[in-house]
Amino acid sequence: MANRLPAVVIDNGTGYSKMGYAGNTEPQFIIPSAIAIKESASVGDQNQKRLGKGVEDLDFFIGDEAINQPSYATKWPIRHGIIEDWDLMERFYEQAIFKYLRAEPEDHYFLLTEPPLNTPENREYTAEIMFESFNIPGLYIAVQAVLALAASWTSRQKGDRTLTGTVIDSGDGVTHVIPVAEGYVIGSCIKHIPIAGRDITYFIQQLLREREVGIPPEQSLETAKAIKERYSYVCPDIAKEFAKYDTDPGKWLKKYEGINAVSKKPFSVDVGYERFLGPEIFFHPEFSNPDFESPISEVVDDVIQNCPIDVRRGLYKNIVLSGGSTLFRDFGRKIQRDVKRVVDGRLKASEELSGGRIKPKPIDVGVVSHPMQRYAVWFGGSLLASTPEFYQVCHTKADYDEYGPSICRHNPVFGAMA
Amino acid sequence: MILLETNNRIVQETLTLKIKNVQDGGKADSVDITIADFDGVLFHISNPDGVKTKIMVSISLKFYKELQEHGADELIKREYESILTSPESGYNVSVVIDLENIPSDWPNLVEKVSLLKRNCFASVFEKYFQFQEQGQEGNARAVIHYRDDETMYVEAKKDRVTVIFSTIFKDDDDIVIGKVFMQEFKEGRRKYQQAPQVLFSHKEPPQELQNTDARTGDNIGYITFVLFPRHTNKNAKDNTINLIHMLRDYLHYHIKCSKAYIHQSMRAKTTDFLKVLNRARPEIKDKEKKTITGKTFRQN
Amino acid sequence: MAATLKPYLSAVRETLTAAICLQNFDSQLVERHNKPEVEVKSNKELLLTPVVISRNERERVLIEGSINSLRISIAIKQADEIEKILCHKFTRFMMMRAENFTILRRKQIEGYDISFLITNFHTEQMYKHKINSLIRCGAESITLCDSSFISIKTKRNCYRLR
Repeated sequence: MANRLPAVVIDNGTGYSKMGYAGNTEPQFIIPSAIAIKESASVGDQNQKRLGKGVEDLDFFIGDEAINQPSYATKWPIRHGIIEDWDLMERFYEQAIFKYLRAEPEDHYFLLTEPPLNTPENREYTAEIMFESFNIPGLYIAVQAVLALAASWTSRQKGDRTLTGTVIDSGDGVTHVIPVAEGYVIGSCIKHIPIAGRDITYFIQQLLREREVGIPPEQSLETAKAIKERYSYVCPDIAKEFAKYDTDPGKWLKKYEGINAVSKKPFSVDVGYERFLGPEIFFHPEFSNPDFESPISEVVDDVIQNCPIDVRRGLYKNIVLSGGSTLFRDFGRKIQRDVKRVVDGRLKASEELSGGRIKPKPIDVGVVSHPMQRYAVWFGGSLLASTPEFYQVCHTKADYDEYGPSICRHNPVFGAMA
Repeated sequence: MILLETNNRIVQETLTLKIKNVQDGGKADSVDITIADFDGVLFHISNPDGVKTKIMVSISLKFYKELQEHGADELIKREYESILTSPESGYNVSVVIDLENIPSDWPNLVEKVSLLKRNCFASVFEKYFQFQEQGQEGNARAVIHYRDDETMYVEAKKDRVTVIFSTIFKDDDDIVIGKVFMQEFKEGRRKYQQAPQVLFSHKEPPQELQNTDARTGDNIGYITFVLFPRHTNKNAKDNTINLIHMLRDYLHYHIKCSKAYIHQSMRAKTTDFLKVLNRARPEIKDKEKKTITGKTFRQN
Repeated sequence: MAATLKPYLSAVRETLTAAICLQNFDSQLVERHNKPEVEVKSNKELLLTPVVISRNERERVLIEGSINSLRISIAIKQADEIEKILCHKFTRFMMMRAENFTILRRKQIEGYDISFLITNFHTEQMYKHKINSLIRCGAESITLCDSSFISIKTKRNCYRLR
C-alpha cells in the first residue's frame, strides 16, 4: 500500500525514550523514561495499592513532565535496559502514543527495541500489551545493537550493507561492546565497561573543582557536562598533547561562559587539559575507576577474540559506534588505531612463532562513524521500518490471535540487502 | 490525562524549537519531517524549495474533498489568511512560516498551525451549527468518511444538531467495553444537566443513517450526539468542536486505557495467586538465612 | 449471596481433601512411564467417579480423581457480557503464565473456565491443605475480582460537553 501511514518507532532506553515516526532522520521526542504516579499511602501489596478507583489510573505524567511533579511519585520502569514494571510501562505507552505521538495505534505498525539478552518472556509481555491493549496491526521487536548496525549503512556503499559487526554502545550509564553476526547477537561474548558519559562528567567536574573557584557548587555538574559536550575531544597521545598545551596555551585553552542561576552573574571557566583528559578515561579507565583497568580498545579486541573464528574478520572490519558518549571527535580513529596495533602485534607474533613459514593475511580494522550516532538505534529502526520488507517480517494481529504471544519470541532478521 | 489534546504536539514543538533557535541567533537548518496524527492525517514539515529560512507545514486528509464541500477552504482561508500558500503536491493544505520575519506573537501562530487538523474538521460543524441557527432544514445532512471504514454523519434540525459516529471495533471485546463506557456517558448526563444527549447502539443502526452511505454493518458501534443550541451558540461552539471532533479517538483511547487497567488488575491478582501457591511449598529448613544487617545464620 | 457461598465452598473443600489422596503409580501400559491417569484414562479401574459440585447453573466445580492425579475444573459465574470478557481474559492471562503456577492446566476442560491438574509429585512437594486453600481461594476470588472491577468500571465517567 502506497498510502500506508508510517510505522511508529519507539526505543525505550534506561534513561531516555526515543519516539517518532519511521522515515524521519531524527526521533520526534526524546523524553526521560520516567512516569509520575499518585501513590496512596495505604498499606498493602504494591500492585493492589496502585489499583485506584475511578479515573485515578489516568492521573499520571510521563517524560519531562514526570520529573519535578510535586505530590506524585516519579518511577523509572526500565532498569538496565530491561522493562521491570509492566504496569507502569503499559501506562507509559498509553501517553506516549496518544499524547505525544498522537497516533491511533490501530493504524500503525510498531517497531520496538530491546537490549541484547532480553528474555523471551519479556517479548511476550510486550506483545501482550501491544496487541491486546492497543490493538496494533503489527509488531516487530528489534535488538538495539542490530539497529545500530543498520544505522551505519548510511555512511557506506549500498553493496556494503552487512549485519555483521561489533557495536560499541555508550550511553550515560554503561558502555557495552556487542558482537553481532549476520543479525544475531553473540550473547556469550558481550562485555560491559563501567565507564560511560556520566563518569566523564564526574571526572571533568573533579578536575575543575581542583582548579577553578568561580563555579557555583550547585552548578558544577551542569558546567562539567556542558564543557564535555562542547569542547572535549580524543587525542592520539596524552604526553604530546600536554606539551602542545604548554607551548601554546593561547591556541588550545578555551573559555566557558556561564551564568549563575541564583545571582544571575556571569562567571567564566578556563577549559584546559579537561578537553582531552575527559574522554581519555575510555582508554585509561584507571583515571576514574580504580577497579577497572582495561582500555576500551582492549575490551573490543577481547570480545572479538572470544567469538567464533569464522566471524572475527567481519567483526574487526565493521566496528560501529552508537550512543551519545561516542560523539567525541577522533574517538573512532583512536579505537581503530589501538585495535589495529593489537591485532597486528598478534599476527606478527604468530608469524615469528612459525619461523616465518606462514604469512598471515592482514586483518582489516574499520571503525564506522556516522552522523546519526547519537540516536543510532532509533535511526536504524526508522530506516528499517520504512522498508517494504518490514511489513513482511512483522508479527501481525492475525498471527497473534491465531498462535498467541509466543510468536513474538523470535523476530526474523531482515534488511541485509544485497 | 482524561481528554486528548486538540493540537498536534510534534508540530508545535518542532516549530517552537526552530523559531527559538533563530531568535537566539542560530542558523536556520533544514527540516524534513513526516508525521501522522489521528484519523489517518499526515503532516509534512519541510523547507519549500530548499529555502532554509522558510518552514512549510502541510497536512493531508483523506477526506478533504468531502470537507471542501462543506466550506473547509473558506474556513482555512479565514484562519490562516496570512500564511497560507498553495498546497504541496500530495497534501491538502500548506502554510508557510518565514523565519526571517517572525511576528511577535509567534506562540499564538504556532499554536494555530498545530491546530490545523482541528480547523479542517471544524468547517463541517460550523456550517451545520449555522444551519441550525438559521433554522434551515432539508438539505442539511452530511456524511464524512473520516477514516477508511468509519463515517460521521451530521444533520441539522431547527432545534438541534445530530452527530452520529459509526465507529468500527476491531476486537469483539472492545464493543462491550465501549458499551460500558458509553453507559457512563448517559449517566453523566444525569449529573450534568447541560451535557448533550448521548445514545450508543451497536448492531442496530440509527434510523437517520438509512438512505445514506454512512457505514453500517457488523462490529460497528453508533454513537449519537444530540447537540442543542446551548452547545452550538457562538460562545460554546469552539469548545464543542474541539471535543466532538476528537470523540472517536477519545473513545478508543479510553477503551485502550480500560484494557490496560484490566491487565493491571490481572497482574495484581496473578501475583496474589502465586503467593498463595508458593505458601503451599514447605520452607526448606536447613538453609542459610540472612539478617537485615547482612549476617547469616542457620535455623534448626 | 453469602448464604449459599459458604456451604458451596466448604463442600468443595471437603471433596478436595478427600480427593487429594494421591500415590505414585507407574503406567500400566508403557514401561518406565508415569503419567497422570486422569488425563490418559488408560484403565477404568484407576479412575474415580467425577464429582460436580454446583452452586447454581453457572457456578460449579468438577473434580475428577484418579490414583495418581486429580483434575479440578472451575466454571465461573458470568452474569453479563463484561463479566464474560473479564473472565475470559483473566483465565487466558493466567494460563499464559501456567509455567509459574505448576498446578495450572494450560487448557481448560470444555465447559469450564479454568482447570488445575494436581499429580502425586505436586502433593509430595507441597502441603495438601494449602493447595486446597488455593483452589478454594481461586474459585472464590475470581468472582470477587470481577465484581469489584465492575464497580470500578462504572466510576469511569469524565467526559462532558458543557
